[in-house]
This record gives sequence, structure tokens and C-alpha cells, in this order.
Amino acid sequence: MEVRVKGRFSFRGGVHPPEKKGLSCESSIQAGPAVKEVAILLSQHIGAACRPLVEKGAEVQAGQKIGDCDAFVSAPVHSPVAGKVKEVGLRSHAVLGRSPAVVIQAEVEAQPTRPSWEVNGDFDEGKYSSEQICEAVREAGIVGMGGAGFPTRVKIEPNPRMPKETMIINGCECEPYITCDYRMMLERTGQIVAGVKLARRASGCSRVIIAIEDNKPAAIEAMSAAVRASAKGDNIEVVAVKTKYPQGGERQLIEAVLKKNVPTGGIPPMIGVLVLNVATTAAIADAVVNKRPLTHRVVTVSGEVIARPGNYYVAIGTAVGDLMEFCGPVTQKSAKVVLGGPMMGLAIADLQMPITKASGAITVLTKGQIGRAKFARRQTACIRCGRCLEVCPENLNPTRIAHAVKSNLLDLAESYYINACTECGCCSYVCPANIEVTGYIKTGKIFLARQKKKMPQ
Amino acid sequence: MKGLLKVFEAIRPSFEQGGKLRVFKPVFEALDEAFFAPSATTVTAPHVRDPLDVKRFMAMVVIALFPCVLAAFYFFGLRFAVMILVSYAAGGAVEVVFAMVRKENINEGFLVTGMLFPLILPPTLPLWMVGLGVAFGVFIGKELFGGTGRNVFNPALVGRCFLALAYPAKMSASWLGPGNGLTGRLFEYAGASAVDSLSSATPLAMAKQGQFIGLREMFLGNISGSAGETSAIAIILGGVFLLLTRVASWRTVASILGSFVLLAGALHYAQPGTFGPVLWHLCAGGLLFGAFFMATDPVTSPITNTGKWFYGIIIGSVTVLIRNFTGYVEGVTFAILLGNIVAPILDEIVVGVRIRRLRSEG
Repeated sequence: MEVRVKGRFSFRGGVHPPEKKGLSCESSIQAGPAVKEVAILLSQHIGAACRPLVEKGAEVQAGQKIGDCDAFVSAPVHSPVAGKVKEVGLRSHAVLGRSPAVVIQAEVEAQPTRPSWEVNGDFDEGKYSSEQICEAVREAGIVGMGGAGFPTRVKIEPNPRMPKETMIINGCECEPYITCDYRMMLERTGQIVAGVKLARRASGCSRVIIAIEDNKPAAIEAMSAAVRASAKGDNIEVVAVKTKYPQGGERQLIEAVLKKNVPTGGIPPMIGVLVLNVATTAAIADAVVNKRPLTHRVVTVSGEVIARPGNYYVAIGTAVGDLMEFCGPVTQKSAKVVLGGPMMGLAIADLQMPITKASGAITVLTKGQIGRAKFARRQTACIRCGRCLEVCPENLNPTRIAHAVKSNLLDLAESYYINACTECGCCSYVCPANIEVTGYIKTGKIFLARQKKKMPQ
Repeated sequence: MKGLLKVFEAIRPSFEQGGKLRVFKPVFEALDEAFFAPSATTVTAPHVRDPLDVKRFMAMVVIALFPCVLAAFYFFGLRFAVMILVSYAAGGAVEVVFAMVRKENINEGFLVTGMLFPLILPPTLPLWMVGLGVAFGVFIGKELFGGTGRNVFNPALVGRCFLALAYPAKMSASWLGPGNGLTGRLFEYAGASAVDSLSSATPLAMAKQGQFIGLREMFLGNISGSAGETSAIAIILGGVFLLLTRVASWRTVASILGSFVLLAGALHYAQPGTFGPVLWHLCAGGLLFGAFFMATDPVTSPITNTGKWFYGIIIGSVTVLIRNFTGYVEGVTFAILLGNIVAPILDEIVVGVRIRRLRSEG
């Protein structure tokens, strides 16, 4: 870690929460827990949920497709293990509540083994056509692995109405605690570069920028070396961006690197940009070259109370509780289990909740970190300090939106562009009055969507 | 501490709903929170938060006032301590009564108002006036608007403005020559004899007669003036602390001082005989104190950064105008109150422009 890099690129606003990456950043990717049973949620992505393709009692193979959907914005799901379908029932989902899932009893109880596959520098993506790559990505069920879970095929497929020119590979990992992408960049460098080239080929982008926060000099070094060593890597740049939350937010990253703004309420392709997470590109390489579906992923388990924090290669569908148990005994001190990082993650109530394709981390927080001991977590009146406006990366007026929602003035909230909020949480983070600004905004968005009948009651 | 916690837990029920002493719940909560943090935790994401909360925010201001308070003790004696006590007692009473009536918690914001108020008063003002002024400021200036966070005007300045209008004679004649030497007036209860206040017009008042006090005295503070406002160095010390901890907005301070320097400089350059030099004006009266501690009050200043720039420019220029072109010798109070009035409008304009721009983008 001797290399000192200074990121030049940044965006307006943002905060600097304690990084806490030291807990797990030195631990290389290890095999996760052996699973007896996996629960594959049928909706692990943004878009239409899958239909189950198997019935109770059916035998399934490892990698077999068990759920699919005809809708364009969707991604199939696969079984990570060979075994028998125990039931098609309801399991907890971090956002949707109880949600349908295929539960599979594994034939043998074994730790997931990471396929040892490494691409060398002269990997040639030329032998795959754009259509081939897109089809393979869809069939493998690849979705954005950075957290949002948007189906990757939809993103990379060329769209004549919105031609894409620039592709940004997101290796920022700006959330505290999380280190899974960092380890991927160090250990799966070649695979990522191969995936980048495939995505470039599929999308027809002419320029590729790999953006990494400057608190990960080793990753910047490794990626730069791999890009330099690879054939036809000359229009791929590796850039260091400033360490600041939410640098890894799609819109913020584009602003930082390209100095371009995605229109409010718009999406990156509108300005010809495509953003992919590093773990997603690795999955693309695996899917295209090895025809292997997305059934496993690297998950960071971290937190001060975790005995063995680290980065684990786990089967999708593994219960959160099993993974936590695997990292050491769960003690009384753990007060909150968060799926994702502490800034945008979702606190979960059910430890049986399965890991999905988009869950990059499990963060376990103590009571001291979320309340008592240090600080009062009592909501007081807004003192109009303006901090939320200063940190808002979208240049919104969070306090006004929150107060409008609080007073049930949804029209007013909408006129303040509530839907432009990316829910990064910076406003709640800084609020000295402890107002749940982001919470109110999220509530308001749901109310508005219901009003417009875009969302079920 | 454990014992104390037990006591609190034992008496807590009588303050809860249905308890005998439930009217006093705000007082109990305030005491409880002064010793222990409440047990509430984060509900939604983000699950971790910045350590700075309102209590700490206000505590920073009180800490930043320390140099000024010490300077006030040194120059004007022990009577100042009594003024602080009166201010806290009278204003605190109003605050507590309102908290009890509203069944809300006592707000930390008052700690700042109660400390700021005596600092902007003449050092020998009768104590009952101190009490009346702060009670008026808190009652009319803050509570009637709905309490902390909803007030339009800075409560301390409302109190001072009220005293200046209601008792102009006392407010413009209760000055005191500052103490000197090693101990200053540290061991005196000044103001008892009327002699003290006779020969101690403030620098700004003297400047109206064409007399300018030396810059060195103005900087150190051994001049006549409001208790906490005389020593420029003490104010700058505390002010820089506020800026470094980012409790005060540097934009507000920079725009007030910047616009003041520009305008006062232009006047001095045009007619050096009539208008005092810029640096002198900068150290005189309540300008620095107002810029660092009064105008930066988050509640009464704009929340948008652009708004803060305009707010500061208005305060800075109005101060110059009042000082040089009206019958008043000092205008910082009025300038800041004027700034408070326009603050919400400035916000509306800035937010409106931003939204219009977004709308035009589609």
C-alpha cells in the first residue's frame, strides 16, 4: 500500500463517513459457508419478477435455470447447487417483504468452490459478436451487482435511439465497511478486464474509464497494470477519483469523471454513458467465456462485533444468518444487521433472508454506533442550518422536501423534485437535529408512486 | 454515575403520562439528557450518523464565546457574571414554561441566546433591564413564532432592539471605562458608582464628534462598549473556532465583512475627513461580534449558500449606511434584523431559480 494516489475527480456535495474498510480489506476472498438449503428469490432485480420453472420435488442441477420471465427488463435466476426443490414458497426480501422464492435442498453439503479461471492479457473479445454477448449476459441472469440490481443486458445492449459512447466501470465502493469489489479488483483483475472488453464490444462504446477511489491505491495499481498488459487495452483508462460518499453513485461518478450531468430524473444513456460495476464485469466474462450463470458472488461480512470479518465467496440464496454464523458467534452486542453498507443498506429483521445477486455486504452494527453511548438520536426541530443542502449531491433541498412529506403536501414535494433524490442518505447523515430526512423522502416517493398507481398499495 | 442513573430511573414514572409531576417532564428530560444520552437509535438508513447534533452544535457556540466572556470579565468586572446569571434565569424561565405548556423538550438553543445577550449590552445596564430584555427576546422573538427553528428574528437581537427603543437613555449611557493593568476590573463590582460611566463614550460615538481612538486599543479591547464586543482579538479567536468547526457559515462571515470593507473603504477613499478608516471601522462597535456570532445563527439566516452570500452583503452594507448616514452611532443590530427579514425571501428566490432551471431541462 505504498503507492499514494490523489484522485482529481470529484462531484458537488457528499460526506465523509468513517471508512472502516480496514476490518476486511486485507482478507482475501475465501469460500463461504457450506449450505444445506438455498432460497433463490424470484425477484432479485429491478423489473418484472420471474416465474418459477420448477415444481416442488423436482431435481435440479447446479447452474440450472429455475426461474425466468419474458419481460424485457428482467433476468432469470439459477440454482447454485444440485439438489431437490423443497418448496416454492415465500421468503423475506429486503425491499419487497415476503416474496416468492424457490427453496432447494442441496444434495451434498459442501462449501462453494471458486472456479479457478484466470484470463491472460491477450484475451480476444473479437470472436464474440455483440448479440452473442448480450444473449449470454441475459441467459446468465446478470444484474448490476453494486446494489441496484438493474438487468445488465438492458444496459449494455446497443440502443439506436440512445447510442452509448463512454463506458465507466465503477470500482469506487464508497460505502463504509464494504471491500468485496476491492478484493475482486486485486484477485480477479484479469477477469474484470476481460469483462470490460466484452461489455465494450457488446455496447459499442469507444471510450472506457475505470474509476477507483483514491483510498484503494493497490486496486488502482493492479487494474492499471492489467490494462497496460492487455491487448487492445489502449482506449481503457484507469482514473483515481476522490474518496467521498457517494462517489460510487452512478450520477455522481459521471459528474466527477466526465464533468457532465445526467438530466434530473433521466438515465445515463441519455448522455451516451454506460456505468457498470466491477463485479458485474467479472460476471460478464464468466458468463460469456465459460457459459456460467450468476449463482455465486463475493459478499463482505464486516462490523466491529464480527469475529472474522472478511470477503466470502457464497452461493446466492444462502441465509444471512448462516453467513454471519460462519464468521464467528453472533453476540449480544450486535444491535443491527444491515444488508449492504451502513449508508444505504437495509436493516433486516429476518436472519433467514437469502443473499441476492445485488447484496454486496452484511454490516453488523453495535448499539453504540446506532444510538446510545455517544449521541442523542432524538429528532429535534430543524434549525435551518442548511447542511443537507450543502451535502446533497443532487443539489436538491432535502429539508423542504422532508417537511412537505411530513405535512402530507405531496404536490409540493414533487415540485421540489422529490423524484430526483437518489436516497444516498447524506442529508440524514449530517442533520444535527437528527431528522430522518432520507426516510421522509423515501416515504414520500412511495406515496407518490401509489397515488399514480405505479405501485401496489 | 450508576447511582444517579438509578435515581433517574426510579423517579422517571412520576414524570411520564399519568404521573403526578408530568407537567415537569421537559425539566426532567433536560436533566436526564444532560447526564445520559437518550436510548433512541437510528430507524432507517443511513444507519450511522455524523456525531454533530443540535446539542453539540449549540455547545460549540458557547465554547466559542469563551474568549469574549473572559475579556468581558477582565474589562468590566464581576458585575458581568451577575448579568449572565440574570440572563440565564429570566430567559430560562420563559423557555421552561413554554416547554411545559407545549409538552416539548427544552431546547439547547437557549444556552446560546442566554450567553449572547449580556455580551451585547452596555456593562452597567440595570439588572432588571437585562432580565426584561432577554425575557422579551425569548418570548416575542422566539416562542411566539413556535420555538427553536421557527423564529424569524435572532432572539438576542430582538431583546436588545426592544431595550434600545424602550430605554434609549440607559442603553446609550450605561457605558464603563475598561479596566487596565494586570487584573483589570476582575475584582471589582463595577457600575456601582455613577462616576465610572461618565467619561466613557464608545469609540463610534466619539467618532461622530471627529475623535478616533487608536487602532491598538480597539484591537485589544480596552475601550468602552458593549460587554463582549470591545475586544476584536477575542471575537476573532472565537469566530475562527466557529468557522473551523463549521458551525458558522464562512460564506455569511466573508460576505458581511467583505461588503463592509468594500463600501466603508469606498467612502473613506472618497472623503477621508468625514468617514473613518476601514480597519478602524472593522474593529469598532459590534460588527465583528455580529458577523461571527449573530448573523451566523442558522435559524435566522438563509439555508441556501447563494442566499447566504446575499444575506451577508445586505448586512454589511446596511451597517455602513446606518453608521455613516443616520443619527444612530451603531447599526449592526438593525442590519442583522433586516437581514433576518429578507432571509426567507432570499431562500425562496434561490430555490425558485434552481427549480426553474431543472424544469427547463425537462
